[in-house]
Amino acid sequence: MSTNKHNNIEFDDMMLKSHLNASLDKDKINVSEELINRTLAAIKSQQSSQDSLTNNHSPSVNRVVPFSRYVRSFAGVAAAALILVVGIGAFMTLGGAKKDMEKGSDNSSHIFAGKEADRAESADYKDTAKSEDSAYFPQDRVEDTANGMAILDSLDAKEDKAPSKSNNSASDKMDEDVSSDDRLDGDRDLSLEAQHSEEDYGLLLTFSDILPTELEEVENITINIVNEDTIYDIDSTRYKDMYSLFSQYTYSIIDEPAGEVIYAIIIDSSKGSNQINIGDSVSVKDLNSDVEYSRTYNISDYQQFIAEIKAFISN
Amino acid sequence: MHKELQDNLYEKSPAYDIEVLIRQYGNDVLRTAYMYVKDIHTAEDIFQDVFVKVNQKLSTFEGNSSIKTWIIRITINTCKDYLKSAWNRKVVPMMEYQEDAIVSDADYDDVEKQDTNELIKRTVLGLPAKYRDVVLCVYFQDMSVAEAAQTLNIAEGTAKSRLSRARQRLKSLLEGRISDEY
Repeated sequence: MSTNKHNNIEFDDMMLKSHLNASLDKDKINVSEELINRTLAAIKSQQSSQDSLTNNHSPSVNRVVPFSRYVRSFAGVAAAALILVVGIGAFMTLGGAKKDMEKGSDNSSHIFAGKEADRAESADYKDTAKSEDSAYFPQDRVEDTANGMAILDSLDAKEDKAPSKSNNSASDKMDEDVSSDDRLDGDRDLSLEAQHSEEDYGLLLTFSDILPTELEEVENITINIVNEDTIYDIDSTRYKDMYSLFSQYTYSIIDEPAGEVIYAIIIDSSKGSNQINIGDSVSVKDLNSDVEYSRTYNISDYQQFIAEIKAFISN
Repeated sequence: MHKELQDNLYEKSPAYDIEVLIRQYGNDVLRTAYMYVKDIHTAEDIFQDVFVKVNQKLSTFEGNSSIKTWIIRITINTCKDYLKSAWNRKVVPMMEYQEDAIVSDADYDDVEKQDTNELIKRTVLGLPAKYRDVVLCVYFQDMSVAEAAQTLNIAEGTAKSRLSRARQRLKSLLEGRISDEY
């Protein structure tokens, strides 16, 4: 490493640009003539479609995609269809065995199970098993969905929400009006804001749903007992215990603020920092952005949760 | 009146030819996009989107910054929009985790086998987003701190402090891991 000192912070004393360019050259990240032609074709197509649009409609971006990409997409769709067929087959096979499973053994279906809870609670064992089946595969969705992709989506309620929303979101983003590009988005990558939508209200969420930071990404955790103005730096060997503690509970979005904060937990990761405020409820704040963003949740068993947090800190 | 306004606009922003812009700044756009999305096909899609947008908005470019800064700003916004979508949120973190993991002490032995350029690229891309953004603007795109701040829509002081912290972090991550020629 160079030991030269430069007062000018803008001076690239580490020669990052040349190293980055060399690495990108090696990876052959260069603009090809074909890409230029495709882009010019896309611009031309955009201009002609713009001419035909009324003033009230915003133009969409028409990308020109090479044929090889279509082939890859087709292969992806074929693979998805194959997985779907195998999945349905496996479900049919396991369907009978499923009825023998003990009630409430699967936590992964909790979101749909939450919707079915009223019916399930009043039903006998057989009805409960039926209800669990419908939690996995809502019949109306299966019948209404021509391509059957909804079945795949509903295999995992957590997975179901993100991809289906995001597919729309991804294409919407690419197709949106150019004027939206003038706004800048701060530093918020993979933010809490993208984590939830209006549809999440009333749903039971897991800890991993409300906090974008995975356990493996955690670099540092501190817990501040606000009343006592005491800060505990949590030992890295206990991160897993803390995540396990939080993962025992379910969370539902509310509109009210968290109230008086008892514990403020800051979780630093390679992707940024989040703050969990625990008061009458739990709020998760994104500290990565210049614009403050937080969301508040009710927790499934508040008293127990507080007691466990207290015990965790005192240990 | 309308003509006067139009003339003023043309005085401020010379008539740019989109093909010339693509040829001149295409590599900067593609490489910047690649460093954000880490996938060449997605980077090429973003490249197309960026220049379609540039073409559409070219008449509104007022010349308050250089045309390159303006194009890179559109590129970064397009990449961030892409990364913010939930679909990509599910795909990208694993890749980012790999990047981050590579610069951790525990896995350094594996990285050491790779060449210096690759190590530096991975280290830069493994920085937290707020540091990586400003490093790419200043050192990769040759922007001043003020231009980077404008591009990232943050205060100049914030950009400066982030750059300073990013440099410290890079130096500590790379210290002793690459040859003296660097």
